[in-house]
Amino acid sequence: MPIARIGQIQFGETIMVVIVLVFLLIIGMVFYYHANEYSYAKTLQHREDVDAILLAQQALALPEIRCGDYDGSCVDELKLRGLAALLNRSDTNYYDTRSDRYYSDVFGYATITFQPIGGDAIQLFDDPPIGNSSAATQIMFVNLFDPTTGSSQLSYLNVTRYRPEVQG
Amino acid sequence: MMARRAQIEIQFHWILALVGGILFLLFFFILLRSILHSGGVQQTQQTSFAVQSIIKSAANNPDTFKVADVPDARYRFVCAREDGQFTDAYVQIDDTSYGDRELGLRYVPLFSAPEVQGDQLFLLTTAWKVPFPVTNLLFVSNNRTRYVLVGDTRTLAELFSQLHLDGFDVDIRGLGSLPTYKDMGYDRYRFVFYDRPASIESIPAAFHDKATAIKVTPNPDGEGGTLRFYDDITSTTHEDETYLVDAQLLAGVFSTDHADYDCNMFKAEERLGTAVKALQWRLQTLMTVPDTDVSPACEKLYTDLGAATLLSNYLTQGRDARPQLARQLDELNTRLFSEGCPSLA
Repeated sequence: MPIARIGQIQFGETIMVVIVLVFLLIIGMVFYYHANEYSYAKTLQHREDVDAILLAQQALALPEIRCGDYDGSCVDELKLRGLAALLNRSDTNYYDTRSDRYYSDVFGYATITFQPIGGDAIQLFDDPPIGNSSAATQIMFVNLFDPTTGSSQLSYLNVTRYRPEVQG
Repeated sequence: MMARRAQIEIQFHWILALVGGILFLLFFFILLRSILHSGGVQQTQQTSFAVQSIIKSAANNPDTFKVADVPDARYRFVCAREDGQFTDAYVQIDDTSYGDRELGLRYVPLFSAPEVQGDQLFLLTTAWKVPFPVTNLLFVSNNRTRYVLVGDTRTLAELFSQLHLDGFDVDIRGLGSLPTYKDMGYDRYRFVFYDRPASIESIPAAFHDKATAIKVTPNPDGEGGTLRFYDDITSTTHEDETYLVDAQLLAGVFSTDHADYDCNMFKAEERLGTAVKALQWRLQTLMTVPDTDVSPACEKLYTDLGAATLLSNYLTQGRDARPQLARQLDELNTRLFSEGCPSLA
């Protein structure tokens, strides 16, 4: 075989090796990127779940809605309706914005609803983000105590924590 | 000609091998560096998230004590106020602040030593009531911080159990034993002079750079008292605050200094505002919404007893008026209870 031809084959071999190497590099990078993304998404999901649990705890711990003293998972229905009226009111002049800021800061993007079993839901707070978002939901059972009748009703607290999707 | 061509080919081979090798090594180097870096960042972010979650969770459970295992680090809980306005609250781990600085601990009244170093956090949560619950105060410490209660040992033993200090590292001492008190190697000491003169000059010099002191003087009627903060025990300069309930007394004992107490009690005072407003709305709902089942007699009673005025007095009158307001509220609630009407708070 002429030397020129051997040189050509060797040159082709070298190019092939480089192509294979580059190909392996790209596959490695893509794999690493996806593995990282998956692990990050799992971390975010875990945080969302923890956040939803913390939010449910926080809603139940509000002294504004708890029964007279701190008593397990008892919520005073009248206090709850009072606070719901405050947070969902249509006029914005009755109170200054300080209290609004407190609740929206503490709850963030969330929907908090108390659902008596067999009764009408009482929505305490509702502020979903504009645009796309992911959500985690947490449900806890509570006793809704009516101080006017002295009776309790089994209800559940439904908390949805939203996480806006970052654009771009 | 042929020999020259072969020479060029061989050189080209080596250059290609060199470039390929460099690229290959570079890729693994970047990959390794990125893994290590993101691992470190993730670790600290996870720690910050875990600590903030532990704190928020503890703050939601009043009258509890918890020991939380955390990664070994130096924790600082910062609360800052300037010109009477709240400016910042966040957790600092080692030398870096993490998390949502604005909201992380913005609304959690948290009283702790200036630095808590170690792998454990002791968390005590107490409800602050006026007399209705307003918010929970969180007290943070660890096993490297010692609280030295100085005064009558029998009274202090009662106070120790009354304040639920069992989980903390507490030493009870008579005033006379203070000059010979030994440094046991703790990172920090907080001397609490209870119902005794604050003889800070008798604290041995070995404690000067790692101790602060507070003098607690309960009122003769047993309700509340005065807190005197000595943030620098080498001088007699001090700041005074009054307290009404045990939760505030604990806040004084656990706070870093007077500024820390002031900043975190400011958070609690803000919550009083929101809590009273919610109670005002509840009263309005009781009196105006037909389906709340409150009888007209109850509605009349709320008006006659000045329920709305009493609630608004909590917002308009200062801290000194609170014992009086608390008594009025108790009387009003007793009256409402006897008439079968829902209590005011």
